[in-house]
Amino acid sequence: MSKRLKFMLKKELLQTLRDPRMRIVILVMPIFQTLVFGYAVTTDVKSVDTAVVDLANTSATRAVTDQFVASGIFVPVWKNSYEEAWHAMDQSEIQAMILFDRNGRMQFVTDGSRGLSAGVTAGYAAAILGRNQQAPVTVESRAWYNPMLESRNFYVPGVIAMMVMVITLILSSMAVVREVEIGTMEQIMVTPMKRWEFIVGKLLPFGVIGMVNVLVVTAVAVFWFSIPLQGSVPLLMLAAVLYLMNTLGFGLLISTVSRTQQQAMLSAFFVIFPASLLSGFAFPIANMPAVIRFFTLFNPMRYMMTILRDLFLKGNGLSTLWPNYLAMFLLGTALLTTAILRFRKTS
Amino acid sequence: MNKQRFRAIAKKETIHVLRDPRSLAMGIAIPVLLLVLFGYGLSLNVEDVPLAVWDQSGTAASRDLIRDFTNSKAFQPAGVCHSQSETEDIIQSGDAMAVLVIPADYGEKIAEHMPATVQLLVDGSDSNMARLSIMYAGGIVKNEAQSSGVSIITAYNPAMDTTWSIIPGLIAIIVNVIAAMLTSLCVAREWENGTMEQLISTPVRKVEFILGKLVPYYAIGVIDVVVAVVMALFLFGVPLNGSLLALAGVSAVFLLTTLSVGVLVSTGARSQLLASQLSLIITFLPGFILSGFVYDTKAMPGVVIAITKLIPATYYVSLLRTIFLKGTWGAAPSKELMFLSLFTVVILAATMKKLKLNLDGR
Repeated sequence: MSKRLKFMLKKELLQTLRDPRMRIVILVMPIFQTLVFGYAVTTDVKSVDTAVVDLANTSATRAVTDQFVASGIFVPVWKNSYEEAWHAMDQSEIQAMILFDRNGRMQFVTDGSRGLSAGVTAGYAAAILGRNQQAPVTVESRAWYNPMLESRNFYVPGVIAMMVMVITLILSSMAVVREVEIGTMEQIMVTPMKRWEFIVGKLLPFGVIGMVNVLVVTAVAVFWFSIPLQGSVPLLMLAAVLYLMNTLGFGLLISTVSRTQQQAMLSAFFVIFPASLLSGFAFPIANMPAVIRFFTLFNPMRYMMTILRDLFLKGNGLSTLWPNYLAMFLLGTALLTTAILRFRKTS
Repeated sequence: MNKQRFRAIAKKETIHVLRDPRSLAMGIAIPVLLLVLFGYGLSLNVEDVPLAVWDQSGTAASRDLIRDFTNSKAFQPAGVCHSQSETEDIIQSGDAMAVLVIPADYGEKIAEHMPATVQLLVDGSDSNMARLSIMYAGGIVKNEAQSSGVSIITAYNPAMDTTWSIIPGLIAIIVNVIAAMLTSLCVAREWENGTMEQLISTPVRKVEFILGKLVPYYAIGVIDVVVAVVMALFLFGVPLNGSLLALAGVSAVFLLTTLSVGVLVSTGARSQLLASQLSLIITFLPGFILSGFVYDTKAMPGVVIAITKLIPATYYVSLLRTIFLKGTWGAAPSKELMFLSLFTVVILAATMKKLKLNLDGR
């Protein structure tokens, strides 16, 4: 390693980590956020406050209500009239209603403004009602890789990908434009430093910070949330390196096309937000229209998301995951090359 | 507070914004583009789950059952298996996310009107899809809701179109981040460029400085909200059942809240890099994950629920959904509005305390 490069690396690491608040933001906040998100990411539906209006009040209707209550999912809130129940739903005091008219006919109402949980609530209700029938065929289900269907196991590995992108993309997108805006770029220009030394010196420290983030957040997932890591750790590290090529490449590209830090920041957000929402983290890619599915092919986070989930839960190896690794490698190379070609030290 | 000095700061900041037309254009274009992209792109419905079949029975009855599965909206055929190892391979590779296993005695049992059991193996690594697939499968074999005479209704959203609940939430999330990002650099930039010292030498007071700074960004935020609401109504056909006035009032308060968060970050950080890192970290992922936009806050543990209540986006997501879909404006929503107002006052007070218009703080 050349002496100049060593100086550059040292300068960048010092500059980034000099501010104790910065150290907290990029090294401690991710741990804290993963801890909170790990508990938040659940699509389970629990303690649904349910208005019960029973105008028939027969033993049959009471039995159905009892079944709902016994499920442990529905918490009854007794109401005397349909109007009262609807009013409570309008005010968001309840999320579902069980309504029996005078003839004992039942209606089950969920709050459709709540998105995902509305569908799940309706599904639970259907399942409870279905138990009452002598069905000719029953379905016995078994879930592989995640027998208890813990939503946490599905979502927490994905948090790693989002967290790392947020941190490394912002750092690298401001890397060059910051020097230009403050005026220190001119000082670097008069040094004999070569273009590649400048870029490597800029990006490598952020890459190191990114790897530390991956390791720390993975440790939280495995040791705090006991999410099994079935696959190999070296494969996880390899994926992280390829993924960081992409986030840092994107960042450097933004940095070279932005004139102010404000522009760089807005551009970074314009990459991070779609990358996260179109990665399959929360919204299934299979359900997206064809045009948008095509866009997702250029989203490195999509591949990282697949690799993380398959590595953690399925323990897949390169034999099935290699297309994702290859895609990240190609995308990352393309991004970095474009960024380096665009970057002129003398600009 | 001196009106003239306030106006001077507002004018200065406006010129600053107008001088960087690219940032201004991004501040308005990014929300529009994101809303178009996600409005069409995102759906939480689970449809067309790829289903493989291992039919050990091979009878007319088993083929009927398979047809019921593949004709439903929930599943689409994704191959045939002939052995246990094949079912494992097809799920491991991701080609199928569920396998329907019909036992060899299925045909006989159906013919003799005996209770039969089929097995559904699902890929549990996607817990959400797995759970919904199991529910759908139960529905297909039983058709329970119809036969028991119970109607299941989703109120405010009869077609169960998840776009209707996603769009109002999406507006909240996008405005939340954009607004905080716009202001998060406005004080840090002055320190970094050295212009803060010039401002300190003027008689401007803290309150004039902070409020004056907010003016141009507030205008951008208003444009963002108006454009987003127009798109929600006319492009995505989300009904506005509540009053436009309620929508405007709630948005006006929320914008002030999140812009103030940005100013506080900017005042505390003093470096643009730290300010942008911090503002994105505290607004984007918490807004996305903790606001109730995707994950129901009710299912979270108590401590986490308490944290969600400290995030302004939580209230705006819920208020927008209420105003758009429910059209109600009663006691509960105004509590949320009260909180947002209180939150804004606290944030602005903290900014006042943190802001030092002298050189000692350097």
